[in-house]
Amino acid sequence: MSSSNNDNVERTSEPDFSRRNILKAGTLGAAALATASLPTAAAARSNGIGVVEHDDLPFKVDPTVYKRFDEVNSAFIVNGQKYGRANADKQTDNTKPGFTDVDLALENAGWSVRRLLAKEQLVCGGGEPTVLKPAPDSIPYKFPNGQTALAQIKRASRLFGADVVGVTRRDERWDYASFASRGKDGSAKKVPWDDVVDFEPKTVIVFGFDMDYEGLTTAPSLTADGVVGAGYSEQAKTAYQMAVFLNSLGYKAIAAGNGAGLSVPYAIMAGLGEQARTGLMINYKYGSRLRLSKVYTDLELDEYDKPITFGVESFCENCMRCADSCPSNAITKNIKKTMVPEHPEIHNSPGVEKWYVEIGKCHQYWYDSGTDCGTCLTACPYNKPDFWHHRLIDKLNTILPGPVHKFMADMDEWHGYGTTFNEKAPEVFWSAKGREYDGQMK
Amino acid sequence: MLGIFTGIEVLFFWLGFFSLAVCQGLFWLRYRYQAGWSSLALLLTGIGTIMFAIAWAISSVLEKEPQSASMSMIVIFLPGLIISVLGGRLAWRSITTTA
Repeated sequence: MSSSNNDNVERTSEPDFSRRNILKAGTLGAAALATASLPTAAAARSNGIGVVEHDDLPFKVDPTVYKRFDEVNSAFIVNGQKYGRANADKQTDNTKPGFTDVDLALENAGWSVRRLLAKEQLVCGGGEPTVLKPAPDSIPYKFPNGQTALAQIKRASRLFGADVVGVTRRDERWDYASFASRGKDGSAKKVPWDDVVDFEPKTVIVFGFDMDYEGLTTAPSLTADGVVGAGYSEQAKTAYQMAVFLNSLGYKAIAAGNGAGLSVPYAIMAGLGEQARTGLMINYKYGSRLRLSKVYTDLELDEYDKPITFGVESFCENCMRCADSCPSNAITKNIKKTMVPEHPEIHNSPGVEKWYVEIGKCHQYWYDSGTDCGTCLTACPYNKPDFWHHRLIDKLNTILPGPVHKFMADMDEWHGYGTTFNEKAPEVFWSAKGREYDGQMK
Repeated sequence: MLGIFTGIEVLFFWLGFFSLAVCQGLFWLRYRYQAGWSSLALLLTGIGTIMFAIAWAISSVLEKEPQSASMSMIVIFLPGLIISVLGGRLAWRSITTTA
């Protein structure tokens, strides 16, 4: 009996690599793969784990309260009239990292293309936009179908420099009620939308541009301003090229940076991201580090991109990193979004469900610090370099419950991310070693 | 590396290499010494966590965030080490019993 038992032990202790067992293991592996590739239970989550697609805006708008924004009420126009253009004459200090002559040169060069295109209003950064019109005898090109149109518009946009592209229907609510026409004496007067835009835009194409991670970690500094300026130049160039692309197809177009309408709601409608506590938008890939521009056109499509959410609202409710880091305390610490601002001011339009930022305070700090700030963008835990472990954490955050988000935000801080006013950051940005992981120059 | 592969590519090559080695080791423990499933599960979890911590730390160094690399050693590597030691001790018991 015992001998028989020992025989059994002997036999099982040897690996059994018979053809039958190998086939069995292979079948199990194939079954596991097939199960993993099945669509997830939630049909709405079509863009990956935790990403939910919506048919309508993912936030409330109260039509009895909300009014279209007049551009003359923007902080840039109001403060520009009071103090002159923000940081028109930035000061350098060669002993202070991030504020040297080289950083100022970076800032000037960063903004140069945007300034060039905005000078002739080829791209509307503010004020009255220019309508680019096709040749009078041109016949508008008909795309074979909506899908092809979307694909070709997005492909062209990426060629011209956009990192992400979304296409949405034009929604008058997000267009300025009137433009700010600036006089040479610095004054600004209202010019109604219809007096300038002599066609009815049907579609808005929204472009997103990744800003340099290392550069933005230097915020607030002239280095970070250079990075922001480079983002503005990219958005202006791409928007102008896409306006010309649509013109060449026989459609009217307006290339707009921050001008003509509100970029953030349009970008949300176009499925580029979700509203954040900063009043800006969090993109699914580049987080808070995204610069936006848009093109209005009379080309009408059969289908458009849809808004998405991926857990940013829950994360922002629990995180507060931007609010804690903001040097002017302009970002609200209300846990939930509100329909009206806590501190009403002309720079905000009430009636939209969001976290309202005190824009006046925020912009005042730009004047006080001699920079374009950007501290909230740097501090945000969604602001990360494009690395696998950050993508993993982002995905985890979409499915984790709210209270865990506070822990994740704390862990992010303990790991050393999102440090602001970091005097060592400019040294890393300008380091001769560069980055080796992505094969860039050493 | 050699002007051909980026740091991340080299990292994932070695992760693949070590994953295969770990699988072979676990198979060996199971078939040679009949190590219990609980010890194998603990070892797999522990070593997997350690490898994840190493991948995190190297990625953090590559992206020039050394504090993140240090933190990963404390909050990911150490728990992984504890789980691996527990699994290893259980497996060791099987080894000594079989021997």
